[in-house]
Amino acid sequence: MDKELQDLIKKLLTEKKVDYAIGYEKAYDEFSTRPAFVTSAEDTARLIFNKYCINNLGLYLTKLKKNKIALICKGCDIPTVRELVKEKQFSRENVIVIGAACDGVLDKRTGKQPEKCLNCGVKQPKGADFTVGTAKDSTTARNFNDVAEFEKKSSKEKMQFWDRQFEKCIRCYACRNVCPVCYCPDCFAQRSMPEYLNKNVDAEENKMFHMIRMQHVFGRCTDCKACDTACPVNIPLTLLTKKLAKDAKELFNYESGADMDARPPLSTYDEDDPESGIM
Amino acid sequence: MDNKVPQLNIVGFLCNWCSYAGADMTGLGRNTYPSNIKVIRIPCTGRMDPMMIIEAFHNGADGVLVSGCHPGDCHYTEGNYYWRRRYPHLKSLLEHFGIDKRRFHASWVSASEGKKFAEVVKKVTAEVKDWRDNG
Repeated sequence: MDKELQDLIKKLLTEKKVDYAIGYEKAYDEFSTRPAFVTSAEDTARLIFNKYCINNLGLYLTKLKKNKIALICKGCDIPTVRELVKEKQFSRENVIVIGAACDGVLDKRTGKQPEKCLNCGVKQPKGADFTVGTAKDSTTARNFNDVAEFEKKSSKEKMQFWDRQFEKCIRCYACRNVCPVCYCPDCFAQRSMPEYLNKNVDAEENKMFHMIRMQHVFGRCTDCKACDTACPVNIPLTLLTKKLAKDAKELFNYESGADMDARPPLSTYDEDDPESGIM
Repeated sequence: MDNKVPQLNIVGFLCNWCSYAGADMTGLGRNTYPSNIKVIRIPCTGRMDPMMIIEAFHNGADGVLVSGCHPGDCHYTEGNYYWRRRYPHLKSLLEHFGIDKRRFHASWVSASEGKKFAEVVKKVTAEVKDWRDNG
């Protein structure tokens, strides 16, 4: 599969179809990969794809707007590309999406597959320009059982749970920096006028940061779990991003990154929207 | 005499064109309502940045009420339609973070509905009080 990938990118680079290819290369040990930016045909030997390729490379699209790029995507990263095209962050013609068939990635911290891979319906990528390799989709469908389970708790329990989680947060902003849809050049968290967020790190401020971030990515988050993977203190951000996906589906029947024509739920309205308990 | 509940703070974000005038009308009509609500005037419910609601809770508000024009009556034609979409999502998200659903409310109050505004504030205060007393 590595060979197939390298040949494909070599071809694209020599035919001058793209300026860059963004893929994965081996990092300091066999369990680690890092993003690789390949500009010449000889360089393609660096590229690999294996089960440790956990990063979502869609992140780099907003930073390389002017170049023509070949981007290696797992099936679960392709919605990110669609969402960013939809938000007009770059044009679809400028990116060649190379879907890599993936049998599920491994989180090297736990040595286990993350939850998203267990119910993955896009192991064989859908909507890519080229596809490399073959993989079989999971038989079980994606579900929101864990979120539904959490929702059953009382608000007091939920509050205590999050307070404990956000006590750990060191506000390194890794979750934000690694998020493909968090691309504001001027983030509210660092703004000083108005200063929404105090700069010191305490549980309450951390919680507010996460609440506002979640609100900002609602209807745009493609639930790629990049934030959850990046978190150095293992805050279960999956529980939040999945909740966003669940709400978008249940309230507005919307799935981000799925349909190019559907308007994002909060940027449109319908005169017949339900009143949802407004007095 | 107002029926104020001690030490209960509710922030009311009222739209300039309907609810703010409606609150005025409440006073003109000599209707009473709990003075726990602290009113902040906003141009339109469509301008209601969810960050401000989150910040209100963060800074210690017990409850938040957002009130605007009835759908179809918006001064800016469509602002409250956007709010009507934002409200259920925000409520659900806040609940997920442990902010009880009794603490966050929205209503439609027009400039002539002074009586309704008093009713809404009474209801919101009762709900927030219920949350504080019964957990």
